[in-house]
Amino acid sequence: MDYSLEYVLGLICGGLIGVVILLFFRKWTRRDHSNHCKYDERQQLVRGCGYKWGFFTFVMCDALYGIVCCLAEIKYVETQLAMFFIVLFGVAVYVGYCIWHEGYFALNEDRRRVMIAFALIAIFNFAIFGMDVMHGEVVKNGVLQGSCMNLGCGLLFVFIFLVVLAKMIQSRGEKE
Amino acid sequence: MKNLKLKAARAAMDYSQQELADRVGVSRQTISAIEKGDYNPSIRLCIAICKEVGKTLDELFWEE
Repeated sequence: MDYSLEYVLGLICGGLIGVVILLFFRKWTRRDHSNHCKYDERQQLVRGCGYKWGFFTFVMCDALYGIVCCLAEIKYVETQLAMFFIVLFGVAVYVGYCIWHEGYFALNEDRRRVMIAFALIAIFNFAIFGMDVMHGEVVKNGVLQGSCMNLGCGLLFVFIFLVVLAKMIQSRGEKE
Repeated sequence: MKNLKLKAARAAMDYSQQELADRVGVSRQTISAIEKGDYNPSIRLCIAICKEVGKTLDELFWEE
């Protein structure tokens, strides 16, 4: 595949910004691990089980995609996009399971802050996808392009939002 | 099987599920799950709960 110089430079800049942010957090966050997420024993079990479901969902979808690729004569989706969606699907299963079994949010975590951050990430991703739609970069020669990754990310966070909402409604009826 | 003995002991100490959970360092949902019989706690957590509500392991977790 031929990538333009701007594309490569953009990738390098993105990577460097990531490294700078990581260094910033390493330098300025507390060293006594007091800001690390804490989970109780039941939550750790739930997270382990959720990971198992997410992992096997990923493996099954991956295998299914491989079979479909072998059988299909026409390609409708870019390979990297398809793989990314499969990863997102696995993550969605893991997160959905953990939220539903009350194992996603840590004991020392502010749910509202996390949900606001998730909403902002979703909006950010939908905005980027919207720009790609306007520039006509979503479908080329009948094949869905990698720019749909932002749509996938946005949808994942909407899904998380909906599961949290459903769980809140379900828990409301619970009595002590 | 519901753990009504834990629920009664907690109520006797006038603790809410959240208060007891904070005292033993777990989530409210974990205390709720133990009371409903949906989760079997580790011996370490059982002991922590017993100490908080002033009961023995037998009194709270032994099934006749």
